[in-house]
Amino acid sequence: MKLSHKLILGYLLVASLASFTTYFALHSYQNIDESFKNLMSEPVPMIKSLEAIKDAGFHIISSTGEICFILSLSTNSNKNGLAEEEQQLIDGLKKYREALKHYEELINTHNSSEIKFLEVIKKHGNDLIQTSEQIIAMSRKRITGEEILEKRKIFEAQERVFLQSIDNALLNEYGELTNAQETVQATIARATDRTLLFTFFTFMLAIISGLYISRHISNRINKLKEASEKVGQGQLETIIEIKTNDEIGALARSLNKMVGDLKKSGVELMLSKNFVDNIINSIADVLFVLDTDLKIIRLNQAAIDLTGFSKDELIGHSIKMLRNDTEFFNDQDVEELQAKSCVSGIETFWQAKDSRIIPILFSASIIHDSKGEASGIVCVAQDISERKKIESTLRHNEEKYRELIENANDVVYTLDLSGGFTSLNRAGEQKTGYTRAEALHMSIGEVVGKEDLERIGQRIAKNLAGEVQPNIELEINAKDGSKVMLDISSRLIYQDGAVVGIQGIGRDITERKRAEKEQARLNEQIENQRQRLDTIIANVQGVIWETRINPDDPPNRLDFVSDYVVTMLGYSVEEFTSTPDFWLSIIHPEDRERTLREVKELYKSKQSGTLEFRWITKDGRVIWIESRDEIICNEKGKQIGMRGVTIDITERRQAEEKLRIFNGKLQQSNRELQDFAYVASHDLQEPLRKVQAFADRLNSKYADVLTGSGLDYLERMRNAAQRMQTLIQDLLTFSRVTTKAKPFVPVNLEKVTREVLSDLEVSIEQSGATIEIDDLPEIDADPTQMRQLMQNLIGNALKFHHKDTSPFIKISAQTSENHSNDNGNGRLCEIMVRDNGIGFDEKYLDRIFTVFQRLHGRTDYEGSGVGLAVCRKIAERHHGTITAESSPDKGSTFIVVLPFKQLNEELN
Amino acid sequence: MRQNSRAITILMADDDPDDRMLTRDAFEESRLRNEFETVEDGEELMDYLHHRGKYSGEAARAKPGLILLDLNMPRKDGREALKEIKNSPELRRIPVVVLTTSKADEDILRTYDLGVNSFIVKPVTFEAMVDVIKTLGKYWFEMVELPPEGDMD
Repeated sequence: MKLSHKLILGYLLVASLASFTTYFALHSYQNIDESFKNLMSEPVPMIKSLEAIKDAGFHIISSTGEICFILSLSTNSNKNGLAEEEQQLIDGLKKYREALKHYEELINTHNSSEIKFLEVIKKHGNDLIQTSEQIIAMSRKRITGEEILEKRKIFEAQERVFLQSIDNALLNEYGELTNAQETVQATIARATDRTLLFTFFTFMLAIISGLYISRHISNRINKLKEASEKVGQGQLETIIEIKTNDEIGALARSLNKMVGDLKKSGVELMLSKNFVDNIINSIADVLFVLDTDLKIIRLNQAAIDLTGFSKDELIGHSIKMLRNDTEFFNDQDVEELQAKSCVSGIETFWQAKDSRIIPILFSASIIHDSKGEASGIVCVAQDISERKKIESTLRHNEEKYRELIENANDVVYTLDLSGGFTSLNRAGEQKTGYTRAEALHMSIGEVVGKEDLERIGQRIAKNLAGEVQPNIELEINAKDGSKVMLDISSRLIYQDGAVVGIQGIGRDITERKRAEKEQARLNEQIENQRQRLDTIIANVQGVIWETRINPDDPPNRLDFVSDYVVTMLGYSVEEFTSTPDFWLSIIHPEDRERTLREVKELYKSKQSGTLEFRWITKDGRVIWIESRDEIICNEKGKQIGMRGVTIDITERRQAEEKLRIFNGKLQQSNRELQDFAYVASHDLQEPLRKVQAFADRLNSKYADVLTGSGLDYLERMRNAAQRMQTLIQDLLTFSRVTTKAKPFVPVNLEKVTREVLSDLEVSIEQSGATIEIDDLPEIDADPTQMRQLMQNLIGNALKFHHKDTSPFIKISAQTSENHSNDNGNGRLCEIMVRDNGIGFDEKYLDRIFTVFQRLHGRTDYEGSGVGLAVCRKIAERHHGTITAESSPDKGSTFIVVLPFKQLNEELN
Repeated sequence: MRQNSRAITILMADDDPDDRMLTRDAFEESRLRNEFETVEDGEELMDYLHHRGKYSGEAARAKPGLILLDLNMPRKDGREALKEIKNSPELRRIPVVVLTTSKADEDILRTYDLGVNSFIVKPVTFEAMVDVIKTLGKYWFEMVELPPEGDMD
């Protein structure tokens, strides 16, 4: 189709769309107008009608009010006014009825729902009218006061209600009006939208079609333009692809024909020149064509790129300019080239314009013309800087690798197939003591022991057979005879797919081996000690235990309990450790709280201590327990547990109990004895005193009456009574050695003796005695009893003297060791009182220390014979002894042995 | 040294008749001018002092100027009697001297606690007894001021 036809068609299309749009818009306008009219037709008259009703209502109301007012006036002056108002009222009523009727008609016409409003208005209107009549009637009758006021109020209320009902109806109508308005507006909006849409659509269509057409045309014109350019450049193969039947198509066809003709005229020659040029330019290598003087006549792009010189800088210059020195392509090279006519593979270097060194691989060959003469040289060069870099990296890596092996701590070596060394690193030299030069002449068999030789042989064989071997431990004999233990792993060395040797790496494990041996030895020691400990624990007669325990923070664990628990309690170790609190649960209920408290206190104090409590054995017996506990602390000093030994002290406690009871009885016995002694002595002495007293009276009052013998009898009586008294005193003293015993304190024997001597001063003077005292020590003793002792001994020494000789008494002491004393009190003090008196036969030794035993008659020496018995009692009480050495007329030595140290026994 | 013109009675309480006799003899030997009366035990002593029982008719009798009191007596012993005397407002001014065989420390302490005026252990010999009586008389009736006889306040 022709172009013009297309254009016309397009315009027509657009025009018709536009007119359609216009028509549509007009039509919509008409529709809107009509619907608006329709919608408005209904509510407007309703409103009008309702307003009329309201108006009428107002009339009625106001008229009513006026009438009442006029009627209420006392004067009759306003008769005219009244009549006017009455007329108004009637008018109002009439209007009301009319308006109401009209409203009703409208409702019926439209059949609308407003009928409900009508009913309400009617009703209220009627009420109002009625009330109005009533009020007027009342006013006429001149009724005033409450009645009429009431009516007025009702009237007012009804007025309000009436008006309200009308307003409701009005509101409804207004509502409808608003709805109608909204509907219309919506319709308008819709129509507007549609119109706009159409307009838009039309517009777009016009643009698109315009663009399309113009493109269509200009496209094809462009194609023509391009094609002719290409042809101009020599691409005679170009064909214009426009096949339409219109004017442009015709143009295209004629152009094509023209090109075809051109082709035939043979411009191909020119094209082929370009072809060759392209080849040269596109090869990556540098290409120079030189003339016979080595000047550059041709070059390619690569030459420019590589050397950095521009084409002009290179063309016409000698190729030697590519290096600063004259070494490139020197005369020697030229000769060689001429001889061979082609050289290749020469590694050399050029210098770029910026003086960068470029390594190249160079080849050159002579160009012969058609006559065979040299017409030029063609040179090709490859940039081998990359290759050079790679080579250098490789060399570098290899060196690094070598260094690594050399510096390794492990021995690294290689063997050939027969086991001879082919290399050895520095570590290998150090450890074996052989240099690598020496090693190269040795095989591995020479550095290992005979036992290992076979192992090695097998290993190598297996290796060569392809089996991968695990590590092997070998003992290497170093050059200096020392032994080195290596842990060796080895693998095969391949070259070109064949095995050429074995590489091995050996780690020095000499130290490790030594450490392992040491560890084994220590372990054995530990095991021995453990066994010893076990034996000890098994033999201790107590439960040894250890626990990580915190009484405030369960769970605890009982870490260890010795087997003795079975013997002591009957529970097995498993039962005892079954729960951490087992030990607590078998404590006697009375002791449980106290024991737990004591454990906690001990734990807090971090010290060791002893607990006593009762356990109940498995078979129900109660046993007393003493537990010696120690708190375990960690290095920070915090308690982490307890350990201890627990022993059965039931027997001990029973013994203690018995002792306690016995002691109690003893004490009581002593007290009773004392009381008895006191009372006895007191009461016994009483009659004696009387005897003496009356004897005295007799003597003084009736001395002249009593004759010599009477006086003599009296004297004897008195003496007897006196003796009795002394006897009783002595008995009392004797018993008091035990009952009035005082606790042991350090007593200075010398001081006591001097006091005694001072008490005996009179006797000493009377007898003219000489007393010598040596140093006497201080010992633990009862001071009073020591005094008694010394008094008795010295008193005796004074008493039993030869009649004609003054007594000589020596008192001394010495220390001796305790040999047989079951008190085990160590050192003993021997007190000796020696006199030169009458002495005695030692066969009476036992008798003299007995109570009331005397060796002499009463008349020879006085005394009741209790003194030495008291001394013995005192010595015994002090856990000592008393004895004497004597012979008749030779004096006596009394020896009292007393321990230096005493334990104060508890007296309760 | 005041000469006492009044006849002051020394009253001795002792259960032992021998001791009573000996003391009376010693009294005579000492030539004291006082009256010497004896009672047998604590009960009699209190009866005497309160003018009751055996002594109920003796209301006019003056209180003794000194009481010599043995400790161990039947029915009521000296310690009880001492307590009663020293707790009685009308009797406690009378000096009481305990005269007993007992040397026991508890007896000495106890009686002093109860307010005894002196404690004397009965001498063994007769002469010593005479000495004691003489000294007592001299001490209590010549040296010491006795509380005047008057009504109770």
